[in-house]
Amino acid sequence: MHIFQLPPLHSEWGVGIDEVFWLSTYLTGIAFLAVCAILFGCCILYRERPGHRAAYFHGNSKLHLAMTGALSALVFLGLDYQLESRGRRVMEAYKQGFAAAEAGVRVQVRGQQFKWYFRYHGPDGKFGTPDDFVTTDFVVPVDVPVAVQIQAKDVIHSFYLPFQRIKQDAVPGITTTAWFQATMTSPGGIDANGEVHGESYEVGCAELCGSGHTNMRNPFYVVPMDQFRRWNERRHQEELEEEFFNMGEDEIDTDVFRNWGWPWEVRSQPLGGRAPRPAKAGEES
Amino acid sequence: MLRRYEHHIHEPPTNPIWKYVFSYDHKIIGIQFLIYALFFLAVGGLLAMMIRWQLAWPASLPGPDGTILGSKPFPILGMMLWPNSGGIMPPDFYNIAVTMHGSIMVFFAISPLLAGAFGNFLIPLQIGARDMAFPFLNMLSFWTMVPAGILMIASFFVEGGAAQSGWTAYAPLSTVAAPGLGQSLWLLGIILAGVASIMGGTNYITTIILYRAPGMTMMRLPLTIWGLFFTAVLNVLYLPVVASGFMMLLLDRHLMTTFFTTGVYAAAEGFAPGGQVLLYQHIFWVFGHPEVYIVILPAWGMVSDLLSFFARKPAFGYRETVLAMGMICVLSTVVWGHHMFVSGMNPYLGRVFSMATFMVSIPSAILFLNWLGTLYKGSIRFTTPMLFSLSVIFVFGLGGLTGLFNGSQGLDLYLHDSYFVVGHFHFTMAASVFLGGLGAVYFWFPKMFGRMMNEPLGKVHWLLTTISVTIVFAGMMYVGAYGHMRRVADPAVYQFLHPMLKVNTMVSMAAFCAFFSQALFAANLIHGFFAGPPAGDNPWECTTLEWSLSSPPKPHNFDEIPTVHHGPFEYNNPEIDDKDWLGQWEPPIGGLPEAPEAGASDDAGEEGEE
Amino acid sequence: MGHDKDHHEDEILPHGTLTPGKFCMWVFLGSDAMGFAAFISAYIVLRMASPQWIPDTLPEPPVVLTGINTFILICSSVTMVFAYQSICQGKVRAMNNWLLATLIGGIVFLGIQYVEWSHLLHGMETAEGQWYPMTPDTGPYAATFYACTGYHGLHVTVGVIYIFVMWVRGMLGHIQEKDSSEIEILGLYWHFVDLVWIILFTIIYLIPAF
Repeated sequence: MHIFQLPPLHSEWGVGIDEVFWLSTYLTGIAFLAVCAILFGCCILYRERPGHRAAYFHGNSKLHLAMTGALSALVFLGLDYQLESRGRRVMEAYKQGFAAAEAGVRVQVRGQQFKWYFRYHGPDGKFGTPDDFVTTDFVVPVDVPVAVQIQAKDVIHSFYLPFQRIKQDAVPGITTTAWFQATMTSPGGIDANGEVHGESYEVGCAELCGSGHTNMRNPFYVVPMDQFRRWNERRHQEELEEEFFNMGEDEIDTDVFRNWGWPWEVRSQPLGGRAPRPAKAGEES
Repeated sequence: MLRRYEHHIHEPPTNPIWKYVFSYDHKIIGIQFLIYALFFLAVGGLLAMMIRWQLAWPASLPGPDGTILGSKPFPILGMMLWPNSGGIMPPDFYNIAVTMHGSIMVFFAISPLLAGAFGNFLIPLQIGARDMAFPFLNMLSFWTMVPAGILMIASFFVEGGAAQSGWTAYAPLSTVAAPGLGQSLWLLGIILAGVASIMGGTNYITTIILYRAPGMTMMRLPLTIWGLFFTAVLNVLYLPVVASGFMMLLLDRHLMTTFFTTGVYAAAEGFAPGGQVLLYQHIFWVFGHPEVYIVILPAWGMVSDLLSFFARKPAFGYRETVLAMGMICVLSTVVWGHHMFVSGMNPYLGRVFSMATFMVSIPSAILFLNWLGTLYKGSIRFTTPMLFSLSVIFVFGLGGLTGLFNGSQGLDLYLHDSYFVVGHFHFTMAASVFLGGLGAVYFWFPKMFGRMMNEPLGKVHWLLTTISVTIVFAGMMYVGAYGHMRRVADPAVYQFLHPMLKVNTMVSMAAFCAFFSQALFAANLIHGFFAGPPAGDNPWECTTLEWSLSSPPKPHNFDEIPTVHHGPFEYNNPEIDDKDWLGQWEPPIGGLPEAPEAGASDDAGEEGEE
Repeated sequence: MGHDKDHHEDEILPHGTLTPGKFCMWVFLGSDAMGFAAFISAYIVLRMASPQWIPDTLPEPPVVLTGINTFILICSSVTMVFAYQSICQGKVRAMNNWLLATLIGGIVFLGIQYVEWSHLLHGMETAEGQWYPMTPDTGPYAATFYACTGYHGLHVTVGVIYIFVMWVRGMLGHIQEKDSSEIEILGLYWHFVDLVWIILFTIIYLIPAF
């Protein structure tokens, strides 16, 4: 029996996250039980009653100081060091995994009020070229690492894949990155025509982004590689035919919807680093 | 070399305006702050109920047969506020409720309750002074809080509604995406509240350092005073940071400057390029993390005191408790980055912040050791204040330990911005501070008004509040571990959250229970004020200086400033036989020149904490 | 805790005694320094992250004019020291004169800053005879410039009012030798404002000049 319930894990890398989570649960659980045992024990044993008088000590003796020191060491080595080092290792594996993931599938993501948009490169393998296509369905192949670059158009969003244990803020002005490798296909997939159908997983937004924040949810399909290729080719074909997606009348704003993107090589610019020169006029307006 | 000062006895004013409204008397100002805080606690609580109502019955809640049940209208207030939607809360208002609940509770309820009300009431009484160092500044501090509160309330009624970008007011959302006046009023309100807190804080620090009674060394101060002192230091140092940040935000909003606002949308709105979104987050959290300790430190101090008072036993490891609180203060200023692990901040910074965050657990563990050590071999009286203090240990244990989940860089990738975080910080910032504050009200009510509150009713109130509050925030952590994001008005939109909807409803029920059990508290307060039995000078048989005075104390507190001969925790000293306590004001015990803590060094080095 | 004796209003405290007012001012200055620190760090971060700090269309900050202004402010700190020294020796008239000098220094500083701001806001004549208005919405350079100097200017304004009040009180004979700590508190504030200006002048005006 577990105290907490985690959602299904469909991520190769997310195993590490769950391990740290359960380790944290057990270690802190032991600490909490110890506190509770002493707390309730003291309350019962040392309640006020006739004939019972409190002891008189201030806790300033060498013994007490040694206890404080021992507890500090125990907390540091038993809790802090364990959890920090595990968490850091997971994080380092995650950060280093991005370069390898770039050899898999690459997707550019843009958050805007209140939808995610996904940009896939065309046959030339380059982003920011006319053969890219943009969708609102996030489709990735199973068992292949997926590298994602994220930007935001208007306000901060947070790209959230619960079953992949991924959360990454989308911040206006900087490019952030994430990657994952899904281990399980979604119930729905790609049909023979290269269109999505059936039940999908979900991409969420985890950072308050305005009144429609709660509805900022996109379908997320994890499909076998052949289906992914079929879907990809169909989208590319559609792109050549300049067919747009069947969206609401007011949402067909081609500039907003399609005219974004950046060369993949433009890396994340952490705070304090030199940002690139402002974008050219045509690229983003 | 520090010199001590004391005020002369002045004739109290007779005009009720000067006596009760614009009073210079710290006790009256404390009570004003108490009323202010309880009012805003009710407003913030009501907003919390609206949030929980919405989450219990979100718009796309599926019924057992798969059809969508939809929201229920909010009782009574719903029809008044949103007649167009039949009393159902619109999504915009959900964001307003979340934002205003957070900011009202942090800046206008919890801070005024502990630092404002009890800081004002207790500091001069417990250190043996006739008033605060600067009574006028003190009065000004309260009367700056009043317009700040009015601005917050007024912002509900302006066009576009109150602020709706979260209590963090993250930048592009609070600048380009928030055209209404509400956000600006919110910013001004909090800047004003910050100015009030800075005025209060400088006053507290000066009073504690320079106005202590003879013999009241820093190491003889009650731990409450230490908690308030550290709070004042953090207030004074970090509120100006956020005030500056909010000023820049105001400039971004009204003069279209480019501090924090950037992005395609901002460019389309006419903003020049070059703003840094993360800069705002850094500035906010440089303040925001110390703010957590600003609200909690007084509660820690009070709990440490109350545990000793009602265990009838000296506080265990007094000096380590003070050191631990000081250490947490210092650490709290260097851990802000753990709020930003997934914000796109440089990951190498994340390592530093993560390590520093974990270090906070060491002084916290020392606090727990000392609290439990105080109970060990005591003779515990289960009065209402004591029960609240004991439940603070329990809920702060839950809150503090779950902090270890969130401090981990890797785990934060998953837990960031989830209800797990919400549950965690509510346990630390809300539950333990609220329960500690309630305990403090029960404890000092006799001294404030000269009458006792009802004990059995208080115990029922304690039981209901503790249980329901624990269920609420534990439930939040449960849904958060499952991936429930915070600040979503309609979690039922997400298929993967459907297993959690029942838990959400249960959490809401517990929240309603917590809210309505406060009616017992209100009844107890009113009954105690008008008809409680007279308290006498020292109903709890306690040792700190305020209990040597009449209840309520005279306007000038002390006819003659007492000379202090003992630490604050002389309980069950084997040297005395006739009673189990020895007041700080009482003469030294024959044969013992000074109590054991008297060897503490003098206070020359105290400002080192800054 | 030196003396347990009560402090009486008419007692002349030894120099350097930490009165509550002085203590409070130190605490406040620590607080205020953090407020400036936020503005200054915003300036540093935005500038470090900016590919081109001063856009081609905007003027550089006028170093010479503001250098003179800085000198005036430093001089006003010196006159403030003389005012304090005078009152410590019981010379009330000399103190009043020095306070007046300080007051004039502060007002001149504000005046020059006003001139500078209005030139920048309305545009400056360049070698090519063009006018470039530097309004606050023209980017982080202008935004931080106006915010930092403006926030400091606000402090100078408060300081000028504070000095004026003390000067009037001095003229009315309300400040005597025993009140020297009040002038010291005023001086603490004024020196702080001066010190902050030297930092701001260095990072905002001098560093772009290189």
